[in-house]
Amino acid sequence: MSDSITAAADEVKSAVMSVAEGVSLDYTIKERADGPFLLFELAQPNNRFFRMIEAALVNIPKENQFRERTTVVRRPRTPGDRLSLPETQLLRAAISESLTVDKNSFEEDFFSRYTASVTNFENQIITNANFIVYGRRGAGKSSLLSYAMHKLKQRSLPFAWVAMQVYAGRSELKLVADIIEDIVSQLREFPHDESTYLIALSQIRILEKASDADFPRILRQTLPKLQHFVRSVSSANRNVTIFLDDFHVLPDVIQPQVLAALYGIARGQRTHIKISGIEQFSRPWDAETSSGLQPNQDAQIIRLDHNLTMPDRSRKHIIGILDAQARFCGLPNIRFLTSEEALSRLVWVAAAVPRDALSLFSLAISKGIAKGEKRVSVTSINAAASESAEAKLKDVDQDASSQKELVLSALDAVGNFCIQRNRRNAFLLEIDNSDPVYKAIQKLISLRFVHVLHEGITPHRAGKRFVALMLDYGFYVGVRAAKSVGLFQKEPRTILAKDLRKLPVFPLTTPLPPETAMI
Amino acid sequence: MAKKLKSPHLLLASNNPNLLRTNLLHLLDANAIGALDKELERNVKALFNLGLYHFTFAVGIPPADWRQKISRTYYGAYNTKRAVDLKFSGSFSTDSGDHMEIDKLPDKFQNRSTYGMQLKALREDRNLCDYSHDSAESDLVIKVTDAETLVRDFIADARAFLRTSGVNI
Repeated sequence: MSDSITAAADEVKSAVMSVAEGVSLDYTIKERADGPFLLFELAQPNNRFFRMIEAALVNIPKENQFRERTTVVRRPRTPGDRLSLPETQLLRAAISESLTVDKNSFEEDFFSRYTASVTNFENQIITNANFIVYGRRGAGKSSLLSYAMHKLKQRSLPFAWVAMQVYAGRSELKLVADIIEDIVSQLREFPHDESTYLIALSQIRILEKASDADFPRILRQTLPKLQHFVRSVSSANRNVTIFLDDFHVLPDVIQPQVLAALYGIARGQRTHIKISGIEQFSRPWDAETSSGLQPNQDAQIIRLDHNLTMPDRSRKHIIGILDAQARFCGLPNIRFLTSEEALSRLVWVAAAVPRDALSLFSLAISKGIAKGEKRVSVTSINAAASESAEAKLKDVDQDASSQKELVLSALDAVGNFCIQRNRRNAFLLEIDNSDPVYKAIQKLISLRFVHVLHEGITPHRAGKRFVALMLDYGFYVGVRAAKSVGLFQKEPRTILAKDLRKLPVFPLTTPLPPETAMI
Repeated sequence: MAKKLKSPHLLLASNNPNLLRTNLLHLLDANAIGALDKELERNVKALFNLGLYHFTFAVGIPPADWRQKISRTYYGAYNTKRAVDLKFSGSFSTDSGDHMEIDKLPDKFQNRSTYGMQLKALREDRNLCDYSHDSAESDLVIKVTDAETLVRDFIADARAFLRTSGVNI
């Protein structure tokens, strides 16, 4: 092959690399009687790659013989070392991107990369009503809100998206004014009456200057003007939607007040509020002052997280999510990179949390590459799980910093009970909403240290109901599952009562430090 | 200039019948505009059917006749694309240079980039089949069976696109 052909191919390859997230796609040069043809090879080409190559070729000079003679083809042979393929590198990049979903995630590719929730809440979330979406970290709360937002975008309907992380930890009332300003400035991007916007802005300035004591009175006075602006954005066929993502990061004392203000603006103005949060750390309604957004009255509740109560369906869901990402990256499906056994283990170690499954799988790819594996093995999934337990401990600081001592003590107690005393990874806990141990373990569930297998069974005597739980795999798997710990089910399948009855009962009398703040 | 058309013909009246229609709207009544629309649709359908004719013929060619199969398959796609062009932008050409536009599809066409690049490769394969005496079947970028699938899908998506654009096809 001549130097000029190689140089021309290199020029196209570099241009493609710049639009393929820095990944160098495999290619071959097909020599034929009418001249060479440049073929980029993928396990399963799709429109995304044709679009990439097309975009790259625009900048290639006309003198380059491949400008009109380049395309994408399916790999002629299935490679043995699949973890080192450019498609796999792209998958890892795609997974990294999808770990934090916000309003800008995926943009035009959103629907091709989105996988519907286990119980298909998509049709519900897009309706004109207020919703609170509950789920643990990584359960898909933000994705579901994002789905609704992209549907609005498709129809050019007005919305505001507030990432509550920006306001995390703030508890002064001025916060309410800041959130309102955030929403009003976003809604200004849609058709509206500018004079009502200017009036609303002047009211926000007054609110900002109010002392905490005067704030409620001044807020009541400003509400009509703020409503007036929102009404100018909405119209008969143009409902407004306000998204509040990760609402639970606000201190619990301020949460009902924020929602009371926003609901005050939205109510009756064809405006709806859709919230995501971790249930145990969310307080949308203050019963004492009757303020906020009352669950099931003012807002419908969507509980997205099924924990491990439906392992077979969770397995299907997680594989569906991984398949969508794999196809997006030019692979036929996720099974191209791993085995059924490893996928089953992934569902258990991720405890059916989609984001955990994605990040664990990405980490397992790294582990697999380091060990020279051709496909991701169960051993690599285990090693990734062990490493990710540390990351979950860090989440305590973000989601439950005031409860840290209690959470870590409860985790220690559950770990001792499961691993040291009973050598089983699952256990029963009597349901008693007033018991401090029960409440502490609920927090472990919300932080993904412990996972629900069954929400209520009566294994022994009528009247006493128990929840069946599983300690997170990250605390007892290393390179391989600790042989001394008996695992609850290896293949995710429907959970049977007879298997649950045999589990040891965690005592509610376990000593724990007192709760330090109301949740 | 559109060659091989006999006057009077809508496609000889202007370089672009869509522009012609737009610029006569203020002069013609609804019946006259309706007649223009009807004639345009007749031409779009005729081009589409020409593509379908080439493709159907290609499907019936034995795989051993790979040169003929690729050639006719390409013409199936090319004439389908001409139907899309005529409806979407009003462009129509009988010049050989028009083949260089095989990849230029409307933005809203399903999988536009895939079809654009694949049809361009198919055009090169067709040239190889028709003119290169030294080539072998293994030189094809798109295998005979893949080409058939590609053009079948393209015709189906073009039909859907034309229907969405109001052509009763």
